[in-house]
Amino acid sequence: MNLDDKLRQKARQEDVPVPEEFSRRVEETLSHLPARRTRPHIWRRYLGGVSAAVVALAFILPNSSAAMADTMASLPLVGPLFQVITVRTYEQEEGKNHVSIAAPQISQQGSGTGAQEINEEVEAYVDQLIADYEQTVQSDGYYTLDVTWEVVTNTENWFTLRINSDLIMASGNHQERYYHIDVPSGERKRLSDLFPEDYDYISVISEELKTQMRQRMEADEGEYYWLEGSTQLGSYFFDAIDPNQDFYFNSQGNIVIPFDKYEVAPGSMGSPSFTLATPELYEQLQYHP
Amino acid sequence: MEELQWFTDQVQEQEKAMYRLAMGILGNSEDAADAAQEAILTAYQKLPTLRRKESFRPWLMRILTNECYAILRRRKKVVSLDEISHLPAVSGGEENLQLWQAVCGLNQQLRAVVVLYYYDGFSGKEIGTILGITEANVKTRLSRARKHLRILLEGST
Repeated sequence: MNLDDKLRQKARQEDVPVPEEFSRRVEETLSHLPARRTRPHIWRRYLGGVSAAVVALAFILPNSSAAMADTMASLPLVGPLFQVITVRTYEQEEGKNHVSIAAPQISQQGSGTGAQEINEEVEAYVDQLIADYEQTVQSDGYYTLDVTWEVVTNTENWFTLRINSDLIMASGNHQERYYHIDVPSGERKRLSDLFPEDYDYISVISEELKTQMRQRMEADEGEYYWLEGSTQLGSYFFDAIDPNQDFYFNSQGNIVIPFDKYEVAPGSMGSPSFTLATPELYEQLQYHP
Repeated sequence: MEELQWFTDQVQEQEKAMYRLAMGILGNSEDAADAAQEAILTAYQKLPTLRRKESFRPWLMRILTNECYAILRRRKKVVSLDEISHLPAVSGGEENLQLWQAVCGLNQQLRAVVVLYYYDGFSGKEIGTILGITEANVKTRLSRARKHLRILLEGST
């Protein structure tokens, strides 16, 4: 028997023990696999840690409650046309579980359906988060979820609302969603609305993103993206953005493309974002913050 | 639901192989568990892109490799032969783990190839795909590993 055969035989005979902790992490991950979501966002969970007691019922304050009436009375004025308030809160803290959700609602003066459309979408999103939570706490887990909102932009031209969700289950996962309204028309806008119909913004943005990813990897060994040609290790490459990829305008008026964890890089890279600088892109821009 | 069950079964079948590979690359079980967790979540998300279900095993191993290397890079770990040449001793069933202990004595580059070749039965071409190296490179590493293993196992085979 040659060495190769001996080694194979030995490998077959040996039963390398898998540590209990490793098996537990695998099992927990498998038993909490999130339902796959369609773009633009994927809800991923990090699992692991300590088993937790099943928590008691959570509660939701309906819009009609006395507490809500108080909230309504103290509306923070965030702009001349758009106001945002927390219309639902969902709080729960027991044992190792902590959940705090502040669900916003945009109120709009003047014409346009942007606020209504976004409110409906946000409501569905929050409902899903709550359903995910309730499903999760029925099994063992260690769950911390905070959902907050923030007005990113509110000018005479543009309104952007961001929903932040931070989920911690042994490790952490941060997720953002952005909702935009063109203030003069009051209509909801997405990335595809920013450019003329015949302009290939997808290619321009995608190419810039790939260039930036390469530059980051060259500059820092710790940076790693799923990018064809730049790494020997990738098998799933970022090729192009979704037509309605999430975005926002930063305070300088530049377009920022945020990605969720796992979208363009391994989970250990977190949620990377890129500020676009291609001049041509800004020349084509039909809306400005 | 059927797909979820299928995925769960497949991953469970590969648990030991995942542990060996992640340990082979990362060198400690805590990091290995992190990588496995990331890999499972990524694989499930990417499952619709897997055209041939029979390719699941090498596909999962490649995702796991990606996650392992990302963890290495992210944590700025410099994997050198010196640092990784002495992995913690394996506990439990020591008498029939001569090969595993010998593998743990190899450097990181050789460990991953040996694990995939001798324990998991992947071909040189498949290992190249999983690790993102050429088949020729796989053969070179295997050749080097054999020399080390022959010495390390001398007297125990």
